[in-house]
Amino acid sequence: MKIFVVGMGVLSPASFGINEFSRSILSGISQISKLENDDYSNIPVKIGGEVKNKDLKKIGIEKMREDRAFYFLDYSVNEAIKAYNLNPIFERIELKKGIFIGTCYNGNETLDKTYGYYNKGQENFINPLFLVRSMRCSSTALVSEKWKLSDFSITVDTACSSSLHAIGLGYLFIKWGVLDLVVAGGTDTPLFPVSIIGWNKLNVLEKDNENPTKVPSPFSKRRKGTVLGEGAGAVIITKEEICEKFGLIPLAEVCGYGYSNDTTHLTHTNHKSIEKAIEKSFQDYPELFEKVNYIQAHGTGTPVNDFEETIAIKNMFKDKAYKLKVNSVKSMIGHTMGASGVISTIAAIIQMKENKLHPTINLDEPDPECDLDYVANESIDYEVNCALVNAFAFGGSNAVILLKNLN
Amino acid sequence: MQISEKDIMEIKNIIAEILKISPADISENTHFVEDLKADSLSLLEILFEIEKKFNINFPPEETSGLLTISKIREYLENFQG
Repeated sequence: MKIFVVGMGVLSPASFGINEFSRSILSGISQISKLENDDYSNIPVKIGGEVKNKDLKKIGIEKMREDRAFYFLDYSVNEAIKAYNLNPIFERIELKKGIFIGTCYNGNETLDKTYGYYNKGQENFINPLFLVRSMRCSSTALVSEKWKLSDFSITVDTACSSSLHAIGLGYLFIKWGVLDLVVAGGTDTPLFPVSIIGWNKLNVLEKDNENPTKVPSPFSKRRKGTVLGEGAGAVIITKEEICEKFGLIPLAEVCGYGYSNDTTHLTHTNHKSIEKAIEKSFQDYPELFEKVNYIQAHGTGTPVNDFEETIAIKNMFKDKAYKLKVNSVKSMIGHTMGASGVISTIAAIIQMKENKLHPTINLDEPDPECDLDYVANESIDYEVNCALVNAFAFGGSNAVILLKNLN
Repeated sequence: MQISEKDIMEIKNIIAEILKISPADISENTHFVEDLKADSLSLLEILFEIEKKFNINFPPEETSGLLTISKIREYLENFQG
């Protein structure tokens, strides 16, 4: 059974919708900036991939009654369905429809605000709906209510690999015949004070507050950590039969879902486990291993991740590793945590369709230990045959998606 | 408590925002459930926002009767804070 992506939508820190996002990443523009909130003044890290209030107004988000993560998810799911004229398919009651959303922060903004009221003795300000809004699954529920995705709903939290697992699970559910049409994606809003303080205390954040666009610098020798970003993305997945029946235009084929679990350390990723996930991504189409010529890396910019990921690629692909193109969209938008897997997937599909690769920006000091072709600093013309998208996570749950170009 | 027309307008705006309708569709006697189809969660939130605005707490035993703006107005006008 062939399974295709037929719609996609995205909201990244400074680009809204597929067209803006595509232009921005293919031009190698950093979306990292100084944080605008006053609450950040006493916090050592004052930069991030932040969605600005003025931009939110431009896309019609003014008052946020629901959790912040909902509005981002809602925006990207709307685009994924409406911009690809899929509304009529979602109205077909005979199709079995499900939703898979990855997030590790949905609800935290609501909780943060609520604890703020409680700690100031303002219990009257505690909204009676804060509990339901702070559930990890609240945005998934609101979006599924809107689009009547009545057959299956799950919110996936495996930290930074959440939304790539969401896509993989959606792929499996279609393959197993459980669902016909899947909304898969992720949303995350990690830029609030306690979160930034926490990540900083783990020593995994860049702190160059004066030069926000110069970090993160995945795979470079000067990399010291990642930069937190917020955003969301969604893809619509279905099977060939539905595409033919309803005249849908496939954007890319999903050919495999690889997964593995480190079981070695809470935060230290492990190249052996990454290799296992890459290997598993070929279990449905082993012949595509030879066709892969591009990898959208997890590439967070932390010393450990980029080193281990590079070793895993080299161990898996041997000599061919040096012929592969590998890049990281996080170099431009930061690490959108649970949303990063789907945003990486969307970036990979855009590059397939445009026959171009976006650069890994800020790669100005090559690291001898990270010696693959990371498409440093300048975008290039390139025809992707098959792509791998990687997402790894604290907690150890790794995901890899295999995509095939249909051009 | 004195309730002005501006206060009533603000209450209408609260209801309109929560129920995603136009404030013009709400009169003082519009019933939140029968006319506007508000569900139990929306009702909780409408009363919560009104409580915040007037710095009061509706006693739980009163809330089931506060389903139109005129009833809310009546409660607020009789409220001895």
